[in-house]
Amino acid sequence: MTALIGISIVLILTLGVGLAPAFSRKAKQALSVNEYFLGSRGMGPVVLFFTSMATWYSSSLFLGAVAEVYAKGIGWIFAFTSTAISGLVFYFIAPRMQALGQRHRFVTQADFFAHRFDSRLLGLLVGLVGTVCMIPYITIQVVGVGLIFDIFTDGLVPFWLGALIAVAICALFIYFGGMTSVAWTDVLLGIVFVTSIWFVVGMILFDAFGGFGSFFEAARSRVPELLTLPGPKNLEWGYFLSQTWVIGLGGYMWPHLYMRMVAARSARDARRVGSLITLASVPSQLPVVLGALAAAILIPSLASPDTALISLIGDYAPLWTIAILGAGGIAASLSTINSLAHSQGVTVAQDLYLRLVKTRPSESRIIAVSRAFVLITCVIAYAAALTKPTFLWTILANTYSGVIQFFPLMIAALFWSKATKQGAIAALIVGLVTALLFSYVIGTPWGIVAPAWGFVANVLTLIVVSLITQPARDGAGATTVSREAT
Amino acid sequence: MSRSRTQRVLWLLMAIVIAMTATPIVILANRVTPSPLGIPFFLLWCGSVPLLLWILMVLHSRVSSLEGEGES
Repeated sequence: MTALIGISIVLILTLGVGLAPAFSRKAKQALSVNEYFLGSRGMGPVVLFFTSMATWYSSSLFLGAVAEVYAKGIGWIFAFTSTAISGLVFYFIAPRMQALGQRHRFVTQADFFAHRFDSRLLGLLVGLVGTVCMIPYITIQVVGVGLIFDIFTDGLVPFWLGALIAVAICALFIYFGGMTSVAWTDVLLGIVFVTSIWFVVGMILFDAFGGFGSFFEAARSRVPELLTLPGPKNLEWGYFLSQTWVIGLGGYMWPHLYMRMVAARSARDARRVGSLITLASVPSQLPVVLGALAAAILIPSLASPDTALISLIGDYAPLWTIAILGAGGIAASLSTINSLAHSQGVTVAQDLYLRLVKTRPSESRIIAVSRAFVLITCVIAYAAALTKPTFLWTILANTYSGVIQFFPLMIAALFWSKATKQGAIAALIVGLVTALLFSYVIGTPWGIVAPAWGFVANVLTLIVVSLITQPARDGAGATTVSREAT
Repeated sequence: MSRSRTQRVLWLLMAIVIAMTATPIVILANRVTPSPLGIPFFLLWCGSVPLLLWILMVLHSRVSSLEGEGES
């Protein structure tokens, strides 16, 4: 019941902040596509930073990462470096994407690739891959939010109801407010998540150990196997390193995160946010690691490591802190669900619908299509989440097989004028097929994850096919974009 | 040192910092001791990379904006 109070407060605040932009708009002022899709490309550094970070951190961090560290040790901290690399990717690419997006009115990666490579087919392929990859991602987030409700309220709000409430609230404010609502709710939820988890973990560490120094001393003497690799579950270095690069380079290739690059107010803001993402990597994720290690020391052999943090409350922190932790968990989930659902609506409308219709529809028609797909996405994700598919975790890891393929294309599109559309299309297909082959047929030699193999195949294909297919005049438009980017 | 050269040096330093945890060099840091400030060495090593990288990015950003590239 105590947790329900914290969770309810976050839900009410989220709904209020989410609906505020829609209701503050003047009644006769029509919502534009630019506003609904990208918040009028006017995101300042604070909003841009929080919406990028809150979207990145999800229930996978709140439940999954805690379980990983508890059971397998701190091999999971590759996430520190991968998030830092993703910040560098943002720092490097976002100012260019912002400037190009502003000039050519790009909304998604598909727009950029279709323009740069002069290929409608490539635009459709990129849109399709992005859309397909986001479905398991959003489903797993809905599963996460349902579990958080169920665990924190001790079954008072069952899984199905918790997931339904969360999805309905997100759908409601996205429908009316679009990107502006998503971004502002992310500011709120990002602050709630980071402060709540630091507060509760800090209380546990001080109550149980008397401070950070004695906590680390206890960790060194009682769970030393969790403090280095390979850890109790024999984690391979190939996994650690390849996962670092795949998530680091592929993270901001997710359609919903890429859209934040082009939504920036200026290139300068985008660059600032890139460096802040890198800085925030450790403060945002360290409490999860510390909390999981504390649980491993204090309550070893938990049957369900997902619940490690919540299990510490009561004995090592006052009961009322469960409300704060519950609020943090819900914040982590909602801030990802809202961005994914919104982005799915935008991607389908912009990348698939607009590319398939012959004449450009009216603004209101485009927004209506986007809204319809936001709702359809929410319904599909909720229905899929109700089955609590266990294999979805595997599929989720494999979705990086898709989005990581956009990274070489983006670098080539920006900086290599010899890259051709044939090279880009072949690289996307070969990279994707290779990653799927390693995922489902070959396995992961030396622990190197499947998306990494796909990435290598993609780069090689892009170079070879582009060099083979160098037409005399094809380079003209390409060189223009490459020049604009540098 | 010219600004573009400073930028190149900063990029190189960023690459070196990333290599500390994103290449097999990280295996050398896979140990519990020494524990500066009581923090296990491997955790401290991995945790310091984002901080170092951020410092270099801020420096790079300063140099770039001085050169008028910040808005490009």
